This record gives sequence, structure tokens and C-alpha cells, in this order.
Amino acid sequence: MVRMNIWSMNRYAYVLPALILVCIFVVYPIIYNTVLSLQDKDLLKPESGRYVGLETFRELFKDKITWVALRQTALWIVGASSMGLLLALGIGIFLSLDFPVNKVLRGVIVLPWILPPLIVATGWRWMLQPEMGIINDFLRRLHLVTGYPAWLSTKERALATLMFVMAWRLCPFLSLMIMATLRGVPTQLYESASIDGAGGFQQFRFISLPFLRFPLIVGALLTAIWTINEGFTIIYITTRGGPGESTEIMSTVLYKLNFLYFKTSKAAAMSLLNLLILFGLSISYLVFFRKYWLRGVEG
Amino acid sequence: MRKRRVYFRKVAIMTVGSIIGIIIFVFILFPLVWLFVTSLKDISEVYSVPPRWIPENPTLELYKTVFSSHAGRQSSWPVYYLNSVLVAGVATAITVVLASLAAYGFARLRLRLAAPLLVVLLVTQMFPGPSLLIPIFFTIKSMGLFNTLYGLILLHTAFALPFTTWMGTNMFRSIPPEIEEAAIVDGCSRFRVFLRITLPLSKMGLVTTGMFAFLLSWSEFPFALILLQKEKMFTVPVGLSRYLTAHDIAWNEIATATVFMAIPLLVAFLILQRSFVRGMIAGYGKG
Repeated sequence: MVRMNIWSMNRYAYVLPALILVCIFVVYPIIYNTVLSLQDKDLLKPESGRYVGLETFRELFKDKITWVALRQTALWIVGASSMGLLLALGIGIFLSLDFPVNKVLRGVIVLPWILPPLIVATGWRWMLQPEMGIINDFLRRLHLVTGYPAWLSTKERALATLMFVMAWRLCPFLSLMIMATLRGVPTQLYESASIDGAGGFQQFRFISLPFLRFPLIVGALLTAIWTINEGFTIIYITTRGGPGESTEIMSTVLYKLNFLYFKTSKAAAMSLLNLLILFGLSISYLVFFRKYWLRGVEG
Repeated sequence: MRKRRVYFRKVAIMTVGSIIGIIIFVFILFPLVWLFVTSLKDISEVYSVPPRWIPENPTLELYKTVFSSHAGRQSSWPVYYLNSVLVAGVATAITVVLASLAAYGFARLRLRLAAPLLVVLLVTQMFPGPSLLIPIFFTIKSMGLFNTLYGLILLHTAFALPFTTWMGTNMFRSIPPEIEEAAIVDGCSRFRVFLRITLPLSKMGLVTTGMFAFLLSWSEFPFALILLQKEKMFTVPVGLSRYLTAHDIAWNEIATATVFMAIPLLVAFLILQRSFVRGMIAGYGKG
């Protein structure tokens, strides 16, 4: 007699539970969000929620805050990612060298990356307090600043400061990627280059950098995605978009639109714009990275 | 003479290298160390200007408020931690079970749709984040799971599944199929093979998978914020964020809560350091 059980009856039974959950909580919400953005749903108006086409988007683009958020989101992504990459380039190159300290350093470097964004934001908010904060105390002792600069409550400084915090969190992953790449470069290349008389900088420029091109592009795309997804927590915990509107990005604005002003459809429209950016970045990531994940897909 | 010069150069390079290394070390570790130092201070010392680098009367007193609701004054932290442990624990368990099942399916069962489904999972991995706040809020609400830990558990599971399934698929593929085939020839059912042979062979990988899921759930903030609005239901991140909106923030208490929240992550990380980092980088990288 053939023993029947659901596992042998249908091989898809193995993958279905996971796929169903992902569909309910990731795929369906993307579709539902698109539907919402084409309506005029406003939680304060009971008769709202009809289909209005692109009307909500038209209204969204009439708001000044939308343009502020778009501009600042672009700044946030580019600023935080490039700061993170610069930090990581320095740290990654250093980690690839054979100093005794590096044995310890390679172990602890991941810390900012395993800490939840919430703790990262809380810790830096505390350290950046003007008077009680340790950062200003440190900078004052080194005579790098006078007075007590308010890093998070000055319009001109807040966004840049938060970009730095985000970059601090991102640099471990990128550093490790850069380190792994550099340590993988065959040493013979450097040896023959130095026989040909190439100096340290030239060796870096013409041997290391070409190797780094790929991890840097992939790293930049991944970091960009993370700055979008984690930016909300970092900003919500530290400045909540303020002072004024100086640190509002799309995710903080869409949160306020729905949960403070109850303009659900407008918030959904903003979410859709955010999703489109994420989608663009993910597709570029997949295209750049295809030779790696394709192997995974084909088995 | 020449030899000496080379020697001095070596020493100079070593010194500069060590100094740079120490600067990076401090740059990376300082925020967590400073949170810990702050957690040892009493409230008057927290507000001192300039800040005191080494607390005068260090005390672990505040860590009691994390465990007991009557340490000194009313504390809600035990409730938050219990909720967080519940959510992260259950979400991790479900994720490990569902992800390893799915991964086994993708790795071994020659599903015709395996390739497109894996690509879909790869893409969906990028989206869980604040851009889904609005639709998920209404979805959870219509399912009647608003203000419950169940909603958050399901959500965190769904968010962890794409990446963990990928990790698992690669992990199972690295096991030589001959071992399983031998068992099947001997009359073992597929599912038994999976339970008795494949899973025990991938213990380390399963632990890494579980750790990733735990990390994700334990740290997750935006969705917990919008889905849990009764104080009894708060997870640690939500509780922390409420404390941070207060007018006079007791930074030593905040610091205590954050350090305590970081402990499970640090412990798990210390134990699994190598395989975890390799797994994460491999997951994003080598595929």
C-alpha cells in the first residue's frame, strides 16, 4: 500500500505556507496601497473612499511639504549612502591590511550593524545633546567647537547630522565587503606592479580600485535601500522631521499624513512614490548582481 | 645604517596603524559604551554639565526596573520585555519552520515554478519598511489583529521569510543529495528524510536563520508603533519611543533599557559571530 500524506501528495505544500504569508503581508499590501492611492479616502470624511483616478496625486503635488520631502529624501539617500561609503572605504582598506589590531577590529566592526536602528538613534540623540552630550564635550576639549552647537535642533545641521548617524550604522557592512574584496586581490598583481615601479597610490588606483568597482556599486544600491527603510526610525526617534520641516523625508511625511491628519489616500500616494524608488533600486540591484543570484535561482 | 632605517620605518608604520585602529575601535564601540556608562549614573549625574566621563557612584540599580515592576517606582519595562520576547520568540520559531520547509521545497523538489518564485522572494525582501505602513495598518485592522501581538508576530514572520528562505535554499543545496537519495531508496518518505537527515545536517544554518529572524523581530519599530496602541501590548521599541517623547527624559533609564535590549543581540552575536556574518554577506552577496 502506498502511504499517502500531504507531503508526498503535493510538493508545493512545502513552499506554500511561506509564500502565502509573504503574499498576505508584502505582495497584497503593495497592491492594496496602489488601490488606496487612487481613491480619496479620508478617515475624517465618512463618505470618502471613492475611486478618483490620479486626483490624489495632483493634490499631493500641490502641497509644499511633498516637494520638501522629495528633495530631502533624495539628499538623505545620496548623502547618507555616500558618507557611509566614504567611511567604509577608509575602514575597509585599513581592515584589509595586516595590523595586529585588525584581528580584534574585524570582530567588533559589525556592532553598529547588528544594533537595532532604534538603539542607534537613541544613543546618538543622547550623545548629541548640546550641553549634556558627550560629543560636544569631546569636541570642546579638542577646541574644535566653541559654545554648545545644537546638532539636531538647528535647521541647517539636523539633516546632515542624521545622515552621519545613518552612515555610522551602514559602514560596517560596506567595510566588510570592501575588506573581503581587497583581501581577495591576488598579491602577485601588487608584486609585479611594484617591480614595474608603481607607487602605493598607483597600485591602489590601477589594481585595487577596478576590483572594488563591483562591490561599491552593489554596496551603494543596498545602502540606498536601507537608508529608505531605516530612515523612518532614525528620524522619528531623533527629530520627528523637525526642526520645522528640515528633516522630513517621504516616510515620515506619509506617517504623519495618515496617523496625524487621517488623509489615508494621500499617505498611500506618498507610499507609492516611495515604493517606486525602492522598486527602481531593487531592480538595478538585481540586474547588477544577476550573475550571483541567478546561480542561486537555477540551483 | 640602512637596516636601522628600515626598522624605524616599520615601527613608525606599526604605531600609526595601531593609532588609526584604536580610533576606529572607539568610533565603532563608543556609542554603546556610553549608553552603558549612562545607565550606571544616577539622575543628578546624568544632567551634569559638562558630562562626567566616569560615574562617581556607579550603580546597577536601574537594571532592576527592567525585571520588576516595583523596583523603586512603577515600571512598565517588564511588560514590554515580556511582549518583545513573546513576539520575537514565536516569530522566530514560525520563521524557522516555514523557511526551512520552503527552502527544502526549492532546493530539492524540482518545482517548475522554483526560479520565478525565488526571484519574487528576492524582490519582496526589499519592501518591508515604512512604505508599507498604510496598507498593512488597514489589512491588520480588517483581520481583527490590531492591538494584538498575533498581528505583529505574523507580520514579522512574513518579513523574515524571503531572506531566510533564500538562506535556507542555499544551505540545503550545499548538502550532497546522495545522502538523501540513499535514504529514499531504503523506503524513507520525503518528509522523513527532511526531518531526520536534512535538518540535523544543517543545524548551524538553522540557528543562523533563527538568529536573523529574531534580530529582525526584536529590532522592528515602525510597524510595532502603529499596530500596538495599548500600553499593555507595547514591545520594547514602542515603549522606548514613548519614553523619548517625554518632556524631561530620564536618560539613565532610557540607556538602561537600550543596553538591556542590546544584550540578547550581543550574546547571540558573540556565539555565532563567524557563521552569522558569513551568512549575511553570503545572503546578500554570493547567493
